[in-house]
Amino acid sequence: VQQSNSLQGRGRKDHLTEQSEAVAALQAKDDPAAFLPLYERYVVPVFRYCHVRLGERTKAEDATSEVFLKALDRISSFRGGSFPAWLFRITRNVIADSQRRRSKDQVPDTSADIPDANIGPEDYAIRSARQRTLRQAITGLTADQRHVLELQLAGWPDADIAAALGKTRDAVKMLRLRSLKSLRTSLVRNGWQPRDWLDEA
Amino acid sequence: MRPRNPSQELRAAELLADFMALGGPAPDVLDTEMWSLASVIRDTLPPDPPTTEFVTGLRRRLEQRPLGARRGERKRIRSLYLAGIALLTAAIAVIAFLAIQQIGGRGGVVSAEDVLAKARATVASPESAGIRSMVLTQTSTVFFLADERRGQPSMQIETRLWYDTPGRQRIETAFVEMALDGTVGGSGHRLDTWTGAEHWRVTPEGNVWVLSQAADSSPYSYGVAMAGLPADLDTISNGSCRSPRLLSEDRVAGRDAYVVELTRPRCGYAFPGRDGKGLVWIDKQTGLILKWQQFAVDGTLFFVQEVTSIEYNGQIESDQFSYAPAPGTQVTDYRSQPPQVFTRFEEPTISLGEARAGATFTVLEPTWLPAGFGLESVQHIWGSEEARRLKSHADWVLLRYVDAQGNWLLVSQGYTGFVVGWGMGLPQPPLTGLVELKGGMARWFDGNPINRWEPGTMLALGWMQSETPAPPDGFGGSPLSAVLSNVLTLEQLVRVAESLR
Repeated sequence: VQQSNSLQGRGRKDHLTEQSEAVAALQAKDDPAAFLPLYERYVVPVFRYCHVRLGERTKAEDATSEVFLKALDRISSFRGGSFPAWLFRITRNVIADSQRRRSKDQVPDTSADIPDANIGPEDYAIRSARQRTLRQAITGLTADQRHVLELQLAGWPDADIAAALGKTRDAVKMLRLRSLKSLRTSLVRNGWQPRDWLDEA
Repeated sequence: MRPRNPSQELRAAELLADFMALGGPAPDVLDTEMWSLASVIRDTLPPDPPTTEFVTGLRRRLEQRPLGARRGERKRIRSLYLAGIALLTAAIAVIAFLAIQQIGGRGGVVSAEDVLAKARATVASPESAGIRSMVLTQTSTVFFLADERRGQPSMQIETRLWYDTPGRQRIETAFVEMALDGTVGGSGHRLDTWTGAEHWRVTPEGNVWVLSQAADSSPYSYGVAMAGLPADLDTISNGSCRSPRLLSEDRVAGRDAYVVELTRPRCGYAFPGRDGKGLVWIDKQTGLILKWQQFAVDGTLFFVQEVTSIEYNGQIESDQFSYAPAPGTQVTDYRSQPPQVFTRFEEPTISLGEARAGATFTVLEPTWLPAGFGLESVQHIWGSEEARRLKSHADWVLLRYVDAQGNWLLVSQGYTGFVVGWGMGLPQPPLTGLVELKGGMARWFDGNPINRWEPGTMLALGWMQSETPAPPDGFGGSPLSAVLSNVLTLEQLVRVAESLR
């Protein structure tokens, strides 16, 4: 019962947040300053999602800039409803444009990012190879499964993922579980063995 | 334990969500494989946050977004769109004309020469470009060109830089070196702090030096040179040696940049196979060099350096520009030497007679040269502006000889050593030895520090004319001479050195 109340409480709070965000977005049509709290709220999750999708920090920065500049320019087209869902649509389009502009590589290569000076080049190469394999496997998921997993990896909370994708939170959780199962099957098909990740964990 | 029914599966999904968000022990309702896979995915594709500089920079752009761009009412947009279509045809013609002018570098609105000139001015004086303070991070990677490890990193350097006018700077450098056999050759850190009055240096070996710093001298170009960015663009774009071309525009570290292509050098000292074209990304607004790619003659990338984050004119805490050695640290104190005044070593080509007249030492000339080599240029270089003003014994002369194939021989004389890259904290050469010269001993080095002393790419021979060790940065040093070449044998270098008169 306690858990149920807690979940209901979270739901109300999310609903209120969603409403206040929509109000802020509508206000921004006349008062651009109202857009800034929305920017503060979503810049990190949007950047992280772009980073997960595009693989490189600089490209993620470019895409994030484009998302928010476009969102501000097109705020007059926001008609209410879920602001994260509206923002996510812009984000998805910007990423799609970015990927279309990219070279022929289908799989983002993170080798341009040098994240940690303490990692030797060989460790880094191994990690990059693993990232590529995982990214390839993720591209084989259904669109919904992939979006859930990528938004999750980008650190989006379930409420925002649900709002962005227009689904319930339970549906998001089930999609995530199923995406993991599909991923496991795909990785095994591509030569990974469960022990590969059991040893790592 | 595997979930057996839908409600259990939902519970598993919920726990999985919490686990992926927060980590922690494996929930028992999830099977071990699934949990481990989730863990590996989470660790392999970590969601890195954006930098503070990026977040604040984008916020500023949003705040400064023109009103017209924000309030795009549909009707207005539609009418503008239609008007835009009408203007498009005319605009294309104008843009094409301008593009030809710009990209071709033939004196249009912006030319490659303009961009390089601005970059030079910024390195010499960041304030001239409106830069009062700056925080940046950059990465540098040198790649092997040797067949057995071609394209693999031979060195990676991470640099963090804080700069504040007047005269304060801090540079933290961390590097990892790889040997030709693929093993990690070493790693280390270096710290340089210019307080405005002193320059503290902690070397990779853990030695601590302190030097005095002239109050009216900006350490920026010197610091940039140490951090590896091309402080002196002429080393990569030497007027007659390389042709610059404005290639395109791009974004680096959130900044709009011009991309300038520099053709392979037609003169100068080029390491065999290494000096193909170069690409330089230059901040459109400030002229700061944001990225540099250097390609070998066959087009292989062998060096890349890139600013990964940058913030101009932000507030920097004062303690970033102070350094206090730990108690008990042995400090080598050079503060009794004249203060450091930094220079970009940008010296014009002069005649041998002018060099002889201006140098603080007797400039010698080889009376024997290998067949086909002739004098190409002479430069008289001062260790600092202060040294030039005082005519302090801190200068050297560089004679450059080339043959018709572009092979080179350098003869360096004066009060400093000359080995390319030595000041970058790069490792000592593994192939070295002593040889008799002029009744004394000289040291030879095989390879060059740019590519981890790969043998056969450069041979250098250096000899001291005094046993007194040279202090850093050239002030009052002992006379040291060196001859270097990309093709000559040790015997030929010895003969050139012996023939100096």
